[in-house]
Order: sequence, then C-alpha cells, then structure tokens
Amino acid sequence: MIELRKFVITGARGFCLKADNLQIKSGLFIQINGSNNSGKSLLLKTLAGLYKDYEGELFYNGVKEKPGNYSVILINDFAAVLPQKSVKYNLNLPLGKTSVRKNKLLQDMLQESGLEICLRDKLNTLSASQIKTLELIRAIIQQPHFLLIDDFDTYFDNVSLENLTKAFDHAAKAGTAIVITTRKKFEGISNSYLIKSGEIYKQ
Amino acid sequence: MKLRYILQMLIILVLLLITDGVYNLQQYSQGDILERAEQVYSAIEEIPAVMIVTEENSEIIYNNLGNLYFVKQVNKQHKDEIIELLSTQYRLDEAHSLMSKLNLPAVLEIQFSGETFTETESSLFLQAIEKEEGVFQLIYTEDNYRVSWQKMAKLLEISRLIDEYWQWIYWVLAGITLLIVVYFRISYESRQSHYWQRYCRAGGNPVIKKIFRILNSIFLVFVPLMLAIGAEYYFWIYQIAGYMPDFKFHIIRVAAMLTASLLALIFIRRKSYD
Repeated sequence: MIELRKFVITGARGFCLKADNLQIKSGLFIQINGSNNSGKSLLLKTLAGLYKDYEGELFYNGVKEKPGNYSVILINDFAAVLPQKSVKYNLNLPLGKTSVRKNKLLQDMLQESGLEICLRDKLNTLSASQIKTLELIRAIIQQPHFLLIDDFDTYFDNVSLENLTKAFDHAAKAGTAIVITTRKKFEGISNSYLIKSGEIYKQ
Repeated sequence: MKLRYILQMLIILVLLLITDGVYNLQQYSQGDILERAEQVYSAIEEIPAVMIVTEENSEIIYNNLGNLYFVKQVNKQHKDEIIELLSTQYRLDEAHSLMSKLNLPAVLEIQFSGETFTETESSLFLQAIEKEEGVFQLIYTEDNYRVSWQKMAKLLEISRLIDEYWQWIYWVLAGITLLIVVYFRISYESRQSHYWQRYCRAGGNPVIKKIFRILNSIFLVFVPLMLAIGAEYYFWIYQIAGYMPDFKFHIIRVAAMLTASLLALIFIRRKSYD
C-alpha cells in the first residue's frame, strides 16, 4: 500500500498539487479524475519515481520510501515500444522466460483483447489504442505492485474495459493496484479521487 | 551480434595490432643497434695500447691504469716471461742465466672498455700516461679507434632518433586507440539507449541493462585485446622471427584499456533516460 502524507508536487510556473491522504491499496482499481492541466500526469510520474520535484513523505507498506522504489509500471504518452519490431517481440521485450501458467494467461488476455491475430505484424501497423492495450497486457503479466495508466480515456473506452475484464481480474488477484487518470469519470469504479483546484479529494 | 559491433571490435583489434607492431619494431630496431654496438665495442677492445716501462715502476703504473674507469684490463709481461720468450724465440739457452742479470723493461698491454672508451677518454688516458714515471715507449694511436668511434656516434644518433620519434608514434597511436575505445563504447550505448529506455519503461529489469553494459565492455575491449595477445603468444610459442613478448607492455596496455572502458562507463552512466 502507498500512503502520501503532507505531499505537495511542484510543477512549472508555480503550479502546486496537494496530494495529502491519497491511499493506494493492493489489488484496488482507482481512478483519479481531473480536467486538463490539473496535475494528473505529474502525480503519476511522481509515484513512478520519474518526477522528483515534490515535498512530503511517501509510505510504502508503512515504511517511508522514495517514490519509485517499489515495483511500478507507468503507461503514459511515452510509448515503451519498438515500432519497427513485431507485436510479439514488443510483448516479450521485458518478460524474459514466462511460466506455463503466465503464458496461458497471456494467450487468454491477447485473445480477449483481439491482439492475438496480429502477433506477427509490425507494431507500427497497430492503432494507438491497440499499442496501449499491448502495453497494459504486458504490464499486468509482470504483476507489478502498482500499475499507473495516464489519460486512460484517451486510449480506452467502456468497451475496452469490458474486453480487458480478464486482465484486470488477474491484476486484482495478483495484488496489483491499478491507478488510472481520466478526464471523465468511468462508471462502475468504486474508488475514485478528484483533482480540483490543486488538491485531491476522495469521492 | 550486429555488424556495427563486429566492425568496432575489428577496428580496435587492428589498432591494437598496429601498436603491437610499432612497439615490437622499435624493440627489434633497438636490439639490432645494440648488436651492432657490441661489435664496435669488441673492435675497440681488440686493439690494446702497449707500454714499455721500467720494471721498478711497472707495478705502480699497472695499478694506476687498472683503476681508470675506461680500462677493461691491464696485462703485464714480467721480466721472466720476456727472458723466456726471447730465449725460446732466438735459441739463447746458454744466455738465459746472463739475461736474468740484465735490467730488462716490463711490457704493459692495456685493453680498453669498448663501452666507455671514446675520444675524451683517449685524452684522459694520454694525460694519465704523461704523469707516470719510467715510461720508455707508448705504442698507441687514436687513428686505430677513430673508425669505431665514428660508427658508435652514428649508432647512438640512430638510437636517439628511434627513441624520440617512435615513442611519439607509439603514444599517439595509444592515445588514438583509447579515444576510439571510449567513443565506440559511448556511441554504441547511445544507440542502445533507445532500446533500454523502452525496456525499462516496459517494466524490464534494470539489472539486465547493467549486465549487458558490462558484457559489452568486455566484448568490445577485451576480445580484441585477447586476440592481439593470442597472436603474440602464437609468435612466441612457434618462435616466429625470434619473437619475445614484453609482459610489462601488455600489463600496462590491459590497464589502459580497462581505464578507457571504465571511463566510457562513467560517461554512459551520466546519461539519464527519463
């Protein structure tokens, strides 16, 4: 579990985001809503350890820790893929050897998402949404403690959410906490936060 | 393995072999000069100066000359030896007892040390002789040594030129090799950074990235080094052209290459992916 205490992120031109009392528990699916430039991306980058301009304390499983010093994968506008390589190559990029069980799960998730048929295709032939789906499946199979997805609604809609049910179920079972940021609120996700006027509120 | 990587290894190998060649050619040339110098030294040592001195002063002169740093050896022919020689040579057996009563001079044969005996030492020698008493005759002329001295001066000049210029060539080559190693390592890792950035962001293990960096350093630097040393080992074992490796040179070169490799790693580490 991650807990932020007296946590303030400083952005450009005097922007500040007060992220007090944000709690991310294992296996939960959390959405953080906010308008453009509200600081959603900055928050996720900070949690992933990629942005360092902050004050306050972060506790990981009750121990004070530096952001990013835990198993975390961030999916954002940066495409962590090699466009000239095949879908299969990109899928296996960080995986190494996978167990039979994981392999079966991977096949299921690929089938569910519709990516199974294009495994041999070059990645640059895929749509942006498909690429993000690939990144998502690839991240879930690694069972990180935290999976952070920025601008979720840019790449995924309610249909995608339904298509990825198995993947999200597996993440929940494996204890992976999924944090997504969106502009509009997704229905059916019970744990929601709202960023407004430089502060995070639990909804 | 990519073609670029193999090419980089080959270029480093060729540079190492060239530095090897330059170093060994220099050693060979100096060895050759030393050999020729030894011949000149022998030529000087083969021509002794001969002194005919009184028997009474012969011991003092013998000692004084023997102490000179450019004198290798002084041989003294005693009165008895001379009588023996004369009586045998001229069949004067009957006069043997008569001759022993004669006050005959002693003969000193002075052999110079080829390494130290030059024109300056020749003057010092003549000055030393002038001070001595009881010298009847000195059979010595500088003309006997002049050709050797001229040869020696030429050899010294060549040796100096080799040392001066070849050392420069060697150091410049070594510098170029080191710079190229650092450049190749940085260039290769910069190209790889695109891959590793995506690998890490996709959740890949950063330790794997570090292991690959170290392995790349080993392959790019140490494989050519090992091949170059292997080639020399081959020359040594099969005694091709009487080759003898210089282990000190190799230790220094391995240390330098290791430094270049570590330096490149430091430069690479300074680059941040995010």
